[in-house]
Amino acid sequence: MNLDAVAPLSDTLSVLGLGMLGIFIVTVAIILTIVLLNLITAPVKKRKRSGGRA
Amino acid sequence: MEAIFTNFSNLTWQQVVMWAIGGILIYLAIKKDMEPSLLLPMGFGAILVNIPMSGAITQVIEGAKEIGVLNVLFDGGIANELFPLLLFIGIGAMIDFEPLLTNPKLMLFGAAAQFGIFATLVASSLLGFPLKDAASIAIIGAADGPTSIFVANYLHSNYLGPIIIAAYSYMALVPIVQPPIIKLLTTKKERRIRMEYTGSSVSPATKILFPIIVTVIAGIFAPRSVALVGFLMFGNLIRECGVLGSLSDTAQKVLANLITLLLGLTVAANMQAASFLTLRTLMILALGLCAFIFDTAGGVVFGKVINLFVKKKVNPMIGAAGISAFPMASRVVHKMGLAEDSQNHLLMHAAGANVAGQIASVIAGGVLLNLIVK
Repeated sequence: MNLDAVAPLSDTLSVLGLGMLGIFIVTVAIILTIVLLNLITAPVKKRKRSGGRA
Repeated sequence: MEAIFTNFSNLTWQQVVMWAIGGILIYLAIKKDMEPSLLLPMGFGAILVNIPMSGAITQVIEGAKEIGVLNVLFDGGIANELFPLLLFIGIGAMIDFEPLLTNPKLMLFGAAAQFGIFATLVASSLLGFPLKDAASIAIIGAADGPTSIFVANYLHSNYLGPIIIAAYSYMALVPIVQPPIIKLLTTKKERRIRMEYTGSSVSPATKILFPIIVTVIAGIFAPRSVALVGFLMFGNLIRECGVLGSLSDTAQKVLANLITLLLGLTVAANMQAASFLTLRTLMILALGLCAFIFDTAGGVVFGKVINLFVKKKVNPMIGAAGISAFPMASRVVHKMGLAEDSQNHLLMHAAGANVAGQIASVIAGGVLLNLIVK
């Protein structure tokens, strides 16, 4: 994109859509990471109580 | 004798107006306690650079260039993005991610509340700002000073001064800006929704691994954000590692205060009357306000949408805490919850959404750069 020119509406709307999509993708990846981290690092007793997995 | 008074003739009314603006910033910092560590040096700097032939900024006098100290600081600290990044170490050391780690779903509210950035990009472009300036104005919606400075500077925006003033002023004004928007978008019944806080503990290992993994994830998806995310998360790692207590204290207090002080003074180098007192500055201040409004609306509406699909309802107000302004936004939501129902304690949920907003705003900055800089 030409940074020194005024962007047409179609371009900025596509940045809006892709931008929000991008943030949500990264967010979901971070959420999954946190869930995984909490499972892996949970104390052994707690893990057993919750089904013995992880 | 005449030589002593010659500089009076160089004074313009625009410079006097800038002194008044500087005075207002100092007043707001001291009397209203609005971001004093930043607005006070900025206000003083605004006066400093608008003295005719000010030696604090670079001047060409009789054909010879005299370098001003504020320009030296600008080149050494802002033009290369050093100050905002160093400030992020301090901010990272201040943030406790535990409310987010105990309830990771709150991260979604942080993402939704970045809507204002992209909505403002569209609005700024419609008002005729070139893409680099439109994107820099839009990033005011990150509600995060260092990210605003980083992105605006990366894009070589012509409006760094007004953008930074708008970003920090609206952050301080969150308790005034957000409540009417939240009330407009929610019913009394929604504002009274109670949310249980389980308060489960997070292991030290999770707290240590979290900043490292987030840096890697954000870096892979949005490589231009990796410096911002990395420095923020490095600060947090210092806090959570448990062996660098004094370094963490230094980062939170001395480093953050010192950098903020220099940042405020240095930003003022961009507040010279000729470039600051324009219609575009007023437009930027208005668009910055729009960014905060769209952010708040994005978070709240997202909360309402979530409630359409879940049995255990969330209080949509916590969506408003998804903006990065920490901890003001979470306090606003907490107070509004208590105002509706004195037993409705939303602070921990709001704090989780708020720190999620801190991460999401940085990622949003990186994503924005990735999308427009090819």
